[in-house]
Amino acid sequence: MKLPSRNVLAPLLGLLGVYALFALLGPDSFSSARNLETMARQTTIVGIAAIGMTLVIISGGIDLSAGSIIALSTVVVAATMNAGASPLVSAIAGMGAGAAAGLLNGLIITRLRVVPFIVTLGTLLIVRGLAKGIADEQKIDAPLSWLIDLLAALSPSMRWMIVPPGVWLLLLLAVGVAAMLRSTPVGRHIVATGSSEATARLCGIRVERLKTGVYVASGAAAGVAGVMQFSRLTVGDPTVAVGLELDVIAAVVIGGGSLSGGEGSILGTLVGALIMTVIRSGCSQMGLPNWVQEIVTGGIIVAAVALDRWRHR
Amino acid sequence: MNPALKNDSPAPLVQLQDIDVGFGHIRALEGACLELHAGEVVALLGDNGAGKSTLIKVLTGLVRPQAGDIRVNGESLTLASPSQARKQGIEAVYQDLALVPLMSIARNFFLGRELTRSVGPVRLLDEEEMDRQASRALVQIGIQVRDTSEPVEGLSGGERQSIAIGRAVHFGSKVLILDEPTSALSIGETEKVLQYVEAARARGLGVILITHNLDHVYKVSDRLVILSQGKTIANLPVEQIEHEEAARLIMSGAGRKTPSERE
Repeated sequence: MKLPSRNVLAPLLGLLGVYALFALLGPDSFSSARNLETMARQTTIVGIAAIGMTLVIISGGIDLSAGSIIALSTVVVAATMNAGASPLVSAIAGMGAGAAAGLLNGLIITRLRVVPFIVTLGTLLIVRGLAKGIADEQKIDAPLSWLIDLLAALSPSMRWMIVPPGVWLLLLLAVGVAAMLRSTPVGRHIVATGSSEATARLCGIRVERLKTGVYVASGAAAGVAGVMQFSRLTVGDPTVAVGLELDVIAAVVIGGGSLSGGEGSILGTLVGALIMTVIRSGCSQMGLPNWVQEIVTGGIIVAAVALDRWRHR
Repeated sequence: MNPALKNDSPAPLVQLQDIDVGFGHIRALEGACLELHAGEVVALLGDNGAGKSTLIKVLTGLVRPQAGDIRVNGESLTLASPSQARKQGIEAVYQDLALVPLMSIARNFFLGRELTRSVGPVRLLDEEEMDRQASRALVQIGIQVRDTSEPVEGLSGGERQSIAIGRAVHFGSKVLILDEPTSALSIGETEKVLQYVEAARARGLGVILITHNLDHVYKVSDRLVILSQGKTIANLPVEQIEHEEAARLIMSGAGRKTPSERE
């Protein structure tokens, strides 16, 4: 097993730092097992979407539609369940809706050659509008099912799982995608495309197809994050996760992802997502108001990127 | 066309005939021609905007011509993508775009052609084998690198060119296209790159060299082709044209008849 690269080491130390800080300064409840589980649950939605976003950012793109896709997915899950679909089929439909939105992003970006920022800014609105349209601009109630347990606090009889199934799913996805990125030709081609698209193309990599695939993966990941969001809300809500894409992007960037492409890692991204959760949880347990959390989180994003630039000089 | 060269190999490695390319209402190429034989270095010359890069893009599958004939080993075909050109053994080395700076030498060497090993149903990258083969191949061509796991970022321009040339030779390219390979290099590095060009020719590759430096042209080339405003205005063995006249042709764009046209 190789040690994590320098790129991951800095965020990892950052995570240990903020955790130690709150463990020392905050109340005892902060470092309790229960709070650790809560933080893991809170990280899951952003974490799953951020796995897809990591691929997009490494490939040199950006996906601003992730938050809207999460909302669309919750609506699709609730609507299909109401139409009589089984929970599993509904969850797959939620993921599929996300993948379809990702395909739309990918096709517009590669076929019409519009920059990802603009395309996904557009689909941010389109997908949000679609979710509101399907839901008739209100929350959709759905019948109770096991989907709700995916991200709920564990009942005593489920304690053996240590963390809820949704968190396990996050870890499973993370391991799988990290392995793909590190050890398969496709993973290598994603990194090469983000580092230097022209070179990748000259080396025979089918850049357009690859990029489309990356946006589909990102959409599907946001779709799965939407299933988790549904689990937490127990309803389909077209107004949920507004602006959440910024948390997702922040997780990738804090974790060492470069917005100019070619750099980033799944481990780093998860660490980035955890850093934000720890700050939120720590601040609220210390009774600090919301605005302090926002300033601290914002400061850390800027510091992380500045540190990264400085290291590259 | 020099008859002596023609007799060496009946079908040229590459033959581009009457190639037309337009972008909007700009005519980039109008009936441009180029021929390349195995074991030959052709210098492709012309002022900026003469159409050199476009002609190369046609040959590497990046630009589809509106008219004209592309023949590889005598066979007429279309080149729709760089990977298709690569399959035909046509490989271009661009000064800035040859390698991905953040990636290691070995990763660059095998980019787009990674070696894999099966682990159950999945195919994983075989890093060790790629490292081993890359070092061996580079040594064989006479290129010294300290460590193939080193990122390309830290290498000099000459070293990068050398690795890209070594890669093309290793993968059995028949046609090597070098776009301004020496323009940003020191004198020593230029010498080295020109040596690799000669090594590639000795291995039987056809080399197309695009450059503005006529000294380099006369040092390594067998033939020169001059483009002006999208047309081929000269196609001569280097012995048949003086340095000064070549320079004058490049600048004035006034055509000089090719030997076959004179006959």
